[in-house]
Amino acid sequence: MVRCEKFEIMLSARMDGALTGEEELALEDHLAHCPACRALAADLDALHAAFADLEEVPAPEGFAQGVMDQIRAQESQKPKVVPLFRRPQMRAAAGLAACALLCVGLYQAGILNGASGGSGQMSGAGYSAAGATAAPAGGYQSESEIDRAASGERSSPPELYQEEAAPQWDAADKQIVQAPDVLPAAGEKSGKCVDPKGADGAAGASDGSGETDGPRAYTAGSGGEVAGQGEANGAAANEIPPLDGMDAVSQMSGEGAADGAAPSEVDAEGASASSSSSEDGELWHRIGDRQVNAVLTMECLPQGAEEVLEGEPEWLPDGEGASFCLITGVEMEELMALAAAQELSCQATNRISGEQVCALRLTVLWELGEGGQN
Amino acid sequence: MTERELVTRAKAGDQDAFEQLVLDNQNRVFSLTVRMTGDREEGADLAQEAFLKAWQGLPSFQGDSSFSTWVYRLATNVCIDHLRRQKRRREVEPALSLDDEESGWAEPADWEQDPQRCLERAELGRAVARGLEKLPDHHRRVLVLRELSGLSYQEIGEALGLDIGTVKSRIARSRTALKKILMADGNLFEAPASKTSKEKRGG
Repeated sequence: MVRCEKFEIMLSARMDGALTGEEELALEDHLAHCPACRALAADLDALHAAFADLEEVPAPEGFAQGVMDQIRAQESQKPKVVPLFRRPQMRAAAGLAACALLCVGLYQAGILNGASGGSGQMSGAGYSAAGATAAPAGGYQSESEIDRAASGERSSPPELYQEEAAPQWDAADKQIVQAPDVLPAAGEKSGKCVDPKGADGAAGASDGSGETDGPRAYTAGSGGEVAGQGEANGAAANEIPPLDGMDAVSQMSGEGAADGAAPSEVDAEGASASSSSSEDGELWHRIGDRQVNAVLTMECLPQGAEEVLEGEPEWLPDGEGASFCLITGVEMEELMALAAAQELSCQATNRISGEQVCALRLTVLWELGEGGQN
Repeated sequence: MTERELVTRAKAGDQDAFEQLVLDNQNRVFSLTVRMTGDREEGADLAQEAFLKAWQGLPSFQGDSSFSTWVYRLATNVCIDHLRRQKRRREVEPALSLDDEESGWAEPADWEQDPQRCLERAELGRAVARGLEKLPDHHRRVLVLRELSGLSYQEIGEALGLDIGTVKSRIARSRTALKKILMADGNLFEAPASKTSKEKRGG
């Protein structure tokens, strides 16, 4: 019987399909010799089959009603689901978001079109503070205005705003190359701004010349949105921002050309930093295609630099593998203080007054500006 | 209206359609829960819980199986949860519990409200139903989970916290015990069983 008990379990398992092949064979073998287990097998089969025919137990009276009452009670307790976008809070938030978007859009448009004057752009702020006497009409200037400015009229420095105009860096890159050629002419021009015509020609020609390697970023002066044509570009590219209100003499030209952020591919001829003095002893430096009153060289930005540099600085290639952006003298001092406090290496060519322009040059790390990728 | 149509409507929030689904499935579901628990009131509560879960889960019901299969499975899970809660309670309050082996299920007092019509249809079915009622809880549960819910040994083991060997032997013993109850209950089981036995033996 002990032996049979084992087979009783196997008989049960067999009905549930839970026997291994080996067990199945052993059971068959046992059943062939054990009438009692065969009888049990038959009974268990019948029992198993009976479950399929098991009568249902009727649910209590009113069962479904009870279920539905519960459901209705639950449903009435549920807060009404108002679609998210229909909720007043969401509408208010959407309105705010739209406003914010509009503001950002206007701000961006201002940057791109150069219409935003002192909108916190490093270059714009720096230069406009540096002695522009007229309002910085910037990118909305007509070609003639640009020409006028380029030919020595003391208007605001429009090219600084135009620089950010459009990503046609290739032409601008050419302009860098052209820039040094213009220098003598600029010098001959007895202290006023550079000869716009020579530059015009140069830049104009280069503008159409299209493809060059170079920094890929939105670039100066060549912007289609503002100037759009080679001539205007040339004018913009060669105009010199009046520094510090002086009658700028013998200043380098080529201003406003390529300010892409990728530093390595700029034609070194027109992009390396140099320095010289103006006739009145004003020291200035040339970096990339810009001229500045001082150059502050750091390996990387010190912590807290973001707060000093309001807005997104526009990083430009200096032609020597580093990047620079334009900052004011005030910002320069603050950064130097930060660097000193953090014991970061930091070299300044010279000190300048607060509103003069400094190039902040980063040799190791630089942050790509918004338009500075590739 | 077909079950599928009712489900579609219920999913869209039609409570009347869902009520019809409840009516169509309540006996089957209640049969399961009452047999699992051995108590009509408890069974009704669990059946109700199963239908509430069905209503709540309706939006995610994909229709891979029929609604009746789905709600039956829900009811099984509700029962399993109930058994687990019960087990925990017993572990916490052992003094208040009776040993499974000792606590055979006495026929509920309110059984008379149902019963005749339900159980008189098929002799064997009735005998099995009554036999189930008399089985000890631990036997009845595994048998219900196996025979009525169709769970595998593995699933039953997971549901009740038993290893497969225990499930296997307990089911076998439950069957034997049920058979004995039926035989002792007036040989109702004997007729079809012996007939089957003869067939088997003859073959």
